[in-house]
Amino acid sequence: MQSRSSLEIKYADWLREHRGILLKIAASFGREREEQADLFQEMSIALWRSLPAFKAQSKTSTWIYRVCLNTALAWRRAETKPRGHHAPLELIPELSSDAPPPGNAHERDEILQRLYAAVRALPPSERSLVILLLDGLSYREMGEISGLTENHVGVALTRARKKLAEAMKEVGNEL
Amino acid sequence: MNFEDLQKTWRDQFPVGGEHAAANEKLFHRVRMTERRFWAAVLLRGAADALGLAALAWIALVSAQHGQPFPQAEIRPHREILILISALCIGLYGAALKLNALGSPPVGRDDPPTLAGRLCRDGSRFYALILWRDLRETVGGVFVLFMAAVQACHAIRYAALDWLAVGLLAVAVTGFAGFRFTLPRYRPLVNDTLAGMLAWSIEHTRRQVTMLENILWYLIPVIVAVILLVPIHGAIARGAIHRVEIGATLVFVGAGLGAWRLNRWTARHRLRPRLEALERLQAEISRSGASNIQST
Repeated sequence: MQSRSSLEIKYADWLREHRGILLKIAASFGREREEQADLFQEMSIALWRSLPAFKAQSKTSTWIYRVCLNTALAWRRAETKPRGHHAPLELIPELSSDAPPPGNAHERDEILQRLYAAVRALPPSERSLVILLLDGLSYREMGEISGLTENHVGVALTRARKKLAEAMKEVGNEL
Repeated sequence: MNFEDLQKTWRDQFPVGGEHAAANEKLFHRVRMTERRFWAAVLLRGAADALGLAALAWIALVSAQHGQPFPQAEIRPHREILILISALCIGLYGAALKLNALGSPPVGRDDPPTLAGRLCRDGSRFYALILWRDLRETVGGVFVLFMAAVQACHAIRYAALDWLAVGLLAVAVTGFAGFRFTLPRYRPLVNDTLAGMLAWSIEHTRRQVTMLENILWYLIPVIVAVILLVPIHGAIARGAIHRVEIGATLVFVGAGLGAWRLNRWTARHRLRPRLEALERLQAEISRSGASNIQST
């Protein structure tokens, strides 16, 4: 059995290396920043609780996607949470604040905002697959994470990409 | 911009290894606090259950041993201790509820590998909660029946009014049992595909919603019966209505209204959203061909 401190070290490493996965999923499932912070916290808790079950049989990133997407799919907006008990907003950065300083940051931000809006408009299961696609995962890895066959992933992604292309038409994307 | 550029923009938005030590530390602190709150809530609920069960057993024992109506002087210490225990139980449940509201919903100790697994695990946890609640209701029901039988024995000897209360309790218990009987039965889960689990979860969540939304109909006779048995019975025995009887009546009516509102709130804000989410997922899955989904 792993000691508490070794789990804590591993958890800190996961957060340092894969924080982006959590942030992207939070921004894809939560509309307002408050919702995103709540979901980010929920996923962090799920990730912490999943740590003892991780046997390194799959890639760490695959495991993290799996845990976080499952949490996000089952997550419901906490409308009933008592006032003042939402996760603090400083847990998550503004969408653009973590980014390297590019030449045309404004344009990049605008594209990301539109992309997130388009992703959020998709049904949750397609949304999950599109996040994985944008992160460059293969159909096989997507199948491992979502529990769908590669064939089904392909069918669902074709449909999702059409919707995404429609939503992103104005920025001239060839999806 | 082509798709590869879009992917690059997406991937580069949160570079690996940025300096987030303070934010991560804060997050870790909240995770630890949530864990502690969750287990503290479990402990508090357990203590409240144990205390409540001990109180019920004690009332049942004292009532069964006593062969005649309690003299007022003898009732007082029992009543005061029971009020204290009830207040303590309510306080413990309230504290547990608050702790859970401040923390996150119990999401389990580990995470299953797929969405189907997740749903199955969530379902098991949800039905474990329901089972625990059913167990509480069954204990409560057995206690009510036992007390009704004891009271009936006393009523035969001392007061005709109690028969009405016993009758109402019998109506409430029989009505509740009958109502539950008309609802779909719990079935074991035979199909472990996502579609099968969804159908199973939807059916059982709908059952719970129906039960909680109709609680008023089996709560009213119980409250009326308890008011007849305790304050009205006391007033008749003493030949006058005192503040104690009025207070007790208000407390019972308040408790009934509280139970009704709590159940209705649970149905509307906890179960209905779950049902809607499950139905949405079912519609989405059936659109995209559930047969392709691997069972886990």
